[in-house]
Order: sequence, then structure tokens, then C-alpha cells
Amino acid sequence: MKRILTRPLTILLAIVASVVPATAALAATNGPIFRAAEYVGQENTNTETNLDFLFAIYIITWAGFFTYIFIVSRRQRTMERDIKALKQLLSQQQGTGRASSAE
Amino acid sequence: MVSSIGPKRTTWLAITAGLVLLTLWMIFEWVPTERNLGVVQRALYVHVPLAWISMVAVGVVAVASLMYLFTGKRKWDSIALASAETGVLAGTLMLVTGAIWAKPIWNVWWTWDAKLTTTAILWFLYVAYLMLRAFAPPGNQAYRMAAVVAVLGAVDVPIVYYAANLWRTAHPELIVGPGAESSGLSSEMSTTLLVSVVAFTSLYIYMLVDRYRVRQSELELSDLKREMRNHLYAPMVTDVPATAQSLRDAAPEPAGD
Repeated sequence: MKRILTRPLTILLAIVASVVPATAALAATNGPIFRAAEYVGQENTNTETNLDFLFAIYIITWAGFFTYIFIVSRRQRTMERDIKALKQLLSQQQGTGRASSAE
Repeated sequence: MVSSIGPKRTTWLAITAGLVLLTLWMIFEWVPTERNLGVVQRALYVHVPLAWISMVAVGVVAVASLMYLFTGKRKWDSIALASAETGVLAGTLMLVTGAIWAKPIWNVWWTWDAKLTTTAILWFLYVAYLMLRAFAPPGNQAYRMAAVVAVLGAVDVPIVYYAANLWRTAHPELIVGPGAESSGLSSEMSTTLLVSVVAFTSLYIYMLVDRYRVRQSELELSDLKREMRNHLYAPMVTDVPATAQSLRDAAPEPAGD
């Protein structure tokens, strides 16, 4: 159950966090994100140049977080698989040991 | 334990996802653009929370390491490792986003300013902590050495925090926390920053718990491997006294005189 919900939520979060800044950057000149800027009457904003930097900051941050979360969850899955296999092997070995000592 | 935290983990992820979405909406839709710096000032809502969680992570590493040194319990060491890894990730992203932000504002990617330099030192200290754990032979001694490095490294945290106020630096002075005099931010900007800090803290807790679970699984796997080895070699070990006894039996009696 937890995996059913966790993975889609992580993917959704990844998509949204990547798409929102990208859309914002594409909608640069007249997009809604600059509506607020009109009210404060900015004078010294080099919108064209600075947007690339802003875009890079958001992409790198979210890519970094999602890569890390992905690596950690993959490692956890591998570990759980190994633990299960080892436990099975150990119980088999113990079963064999008991049988041979009984003989 | 691992399976019992599953639903809580999913709920926490959902809360974090909601907070992140709210933060992104506030940053790109709601908060006004700063008059002098322009749109790139919106980097503040990522850069400052990254700095915050990297400092919190270092604090957690230091406390957990101290607890490990006093109690010797493995769970404290696991918490320290999980927090150090998350903190180094946040610190790396903070340094990278800071450099990208510096370029359009200061016209350089990096400068040897007090705040930046002390932050870089802190980053190197915790990378060293992770390297020590990765390359030292596993065992309690390596973990104790790493714990000492972590506690000593935490001394740099207040220096980093107050660096911009103590020295003349290019980096802006403190805008949040006990050392901040005046943030210079509008109420919308302060609110957005606060929500962003909460969202990033939530993400940090999620990653910390996730990494802690992996560490617990690593330890469980290592215990199982040891048990397996003992089980496989146990017959050979029990044979040794028998063989020694048979050798003694076969040996000639020592001379009586």
C-alpha cells in the first residue's frame, strides 16, 4: 500500500517541481509571475539575463533532491530484497542442519 | 519497525508535496519581484531554506554524535550518518545556487568572502566525515572517530551564521534568526520565505527518515551475513577440538624419566 502511494506521489512532486519553474521561465515577459512586479514599479531588473540563472537554480535544486531520493529508495528496495533472500537461505540452512543432526 | 512507519512516511510525503506546491505557487505567482535585484531575487526562497536545512542537519549530526559517544548506541550513529548525508546534499545545493545567484549580482561565481569561505570549510568538514565513514575499516572505532569529527565540525556553524555580521563581506547580512536586525523584506516576501523554510524542513525530515531506514537495513543485512557465516563455518569450528583431541590421543606418551 505504502509503495503504491509513495512512488506516484514522488513522481508527481518531481514533475510539478520541474514543470512549474520551466513554465514560469517560458511565460517570462508577460506571464502571471510578473504581474506582481508591475505593482512595485521595478526599474533595475534585467529580466532577460536573470531568468536563465533563476531557471538553473530551481532545476538544479529539485534535480538534486529527486536524484538523492530516487537513489535512496532504490538502495532500500535492493536491501529489502537481499534481507528477504538471506533470511530464507538461513532458515533453509537451519532446517538442513536440524535434519542432519537428527540423523 | 520499518513496515510500521510506512503509512506515516506516505502521509509525510503528501504533506511535503503540498507544502512544496504551495511554496512554488507563492514564489512564482504571489510574491512581488524585488525592486533592485529583479527576478533572480526569487532564488532567495530556495537558497536561504537550503542554508537553513544544512545548518539544522549539522546540528542534528553533532547532537546525535555526542549521544553516540556517550551511550554507544547504534541508532544515534545511524541518525548522525543520515543527517550528515542529507546535510551535505543541502550544503552542496546551497553553494551551487549561491554561485549561480552571485554571477548576475556580483559578476563573479565565487569570491573568498568570509561567509562563503566559512561555509565551504563546513562543507569540506562534513564531506571528510562521510569519507572517513566510507573508507575507514567498519567498526565502533571508525564510528567514534567520525563522531568526534562531526562534533568538532559543528563549531563552525555559529561562525558561518555570524560571518556576514562580524566581517565586512559581499554577502548580505542576516535576514532571519536571532542575529538578524532588519530583514528588509516585505511581508509577502517574509511569508513566502517562512513557508519555503517549512517546506524544506519537511523535505529534510522525510529524507532523514528515509536514509535512516536504509542504514537500519544495512545493519540488519550485515548482521544476517555474520549469522550466515557463523552458521556455515560452525561445523568446522566444532571439529577443531575433536581433531586436537585425536592428535593428542595419537601422540606417543612422554618418557617417564
